[in-house]
Amino acid sequence: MDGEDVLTTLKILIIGDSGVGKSSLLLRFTDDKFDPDQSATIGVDFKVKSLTIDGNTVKLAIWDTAGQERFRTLTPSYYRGAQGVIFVYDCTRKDSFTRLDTWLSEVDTYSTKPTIKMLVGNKIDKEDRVVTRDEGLKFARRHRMLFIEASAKTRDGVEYAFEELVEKIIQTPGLWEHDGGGKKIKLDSEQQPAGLCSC
Amino acid sequence: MNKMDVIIKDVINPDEIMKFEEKYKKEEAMGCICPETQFEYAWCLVRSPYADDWKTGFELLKKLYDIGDDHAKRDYLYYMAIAKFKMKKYDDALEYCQAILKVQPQNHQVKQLKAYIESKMKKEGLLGMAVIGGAGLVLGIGAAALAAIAVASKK
Ligand SMILES: Nc1nc2c(ncn2[C@@H]2O[C@H](COP(=O)(O)OP(=O)(O)OP(=O)(O)O)[C@@H](O)[C@H]2O)c(=O)[nH]1
Ligand SMILES: [Mg+2]
Repeated sequence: MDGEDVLTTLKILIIGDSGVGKSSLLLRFTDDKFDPDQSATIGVDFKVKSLTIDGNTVKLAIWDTAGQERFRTLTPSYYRGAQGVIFVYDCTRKDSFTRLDTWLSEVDTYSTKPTIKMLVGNKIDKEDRVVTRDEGLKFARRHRMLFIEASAKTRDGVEYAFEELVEKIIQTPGLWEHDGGGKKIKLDSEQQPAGLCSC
Repeated sequence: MNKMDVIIKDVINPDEIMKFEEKYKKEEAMGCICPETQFEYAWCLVRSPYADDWKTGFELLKKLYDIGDDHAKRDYLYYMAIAKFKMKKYDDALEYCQAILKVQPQNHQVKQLKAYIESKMKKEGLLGMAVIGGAGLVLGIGAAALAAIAVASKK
């Protein structure tokens, strides 16, 4: 339901190879649960969650895409209008990290607006990691993405991933619009980024 | 808005449909349609704004299901259920959901779709008449086929 004091609704996408843990991260974030037998997503899944950041409540419409090959060509049709994209790889699977280039260029090709990007290296609870934190960080820097390592299983980094992304979107002028209009944005005056109109 | 409403009402851009239609027609003309192409096109049609397309999409999915690529059967069934739901064939839609739940009882996407269909039927006073036979009536899925899906859908 549209809340009383919702600042805006943001569209967030989660993409990455099959099995890296996209749905698991989302389930952890929305329901604080983990399912070791999470089944592969069919096409796309959708969840809504409200988040309050710096006193502003935003509604997130989160589209969780399927990484399986058979859905690849069609998932870009869901990219339209997204303000934030979460790219997920699995720290224990090099191929899922290597494939990030493909995912990035796909988003650049198909998204209709500039987007804020967050890179998430998932499954850090596992012992057989092959992608180091440093590699992840370097990749993120090179592509101007936010970055966090996380574990959907242990909760590590999950909230941070979503909150940082949303915060960055909110602070970027022109990326989003007011839902109701006329509401004051509550921003810490010190933190107020230049150019963000608070009317 | 209910999240299932969003998923069901989500509509694809007609440009997109045309793009995949072209690819499909090209392969059809050459006499050899890849299952991938057929699936892409069918999925587009199920998300089309036009009711006629849902039916065509369903037919294409049904054919894919029958020729049987076990790895993908679960996905075909899911979109067959959505197509039937849009066509207001709630009993059939429900049956496809149940067929998937037989092999993946915990699949939340399917559980949600099923609950959504049931609430729709309740609202329209249809629940009770249906849901006698359970899975297998429309599809005639044998135990062997279901087992195959179960194996294929394991990670
Ligand atoms: N150990 C561990 N396992 C995880 C973690 N996140 C996900 N998994 C497991 O990895 C498997 C795949 O997770 P999913 O969330 O289904 O992966 P996905 O990226 O959504 O896959 P698709 O839907 O096919 O694109 C499941 O068995 C999860 O339980 C994690 O942080 N740690
Ligand atoms: Mg998934």
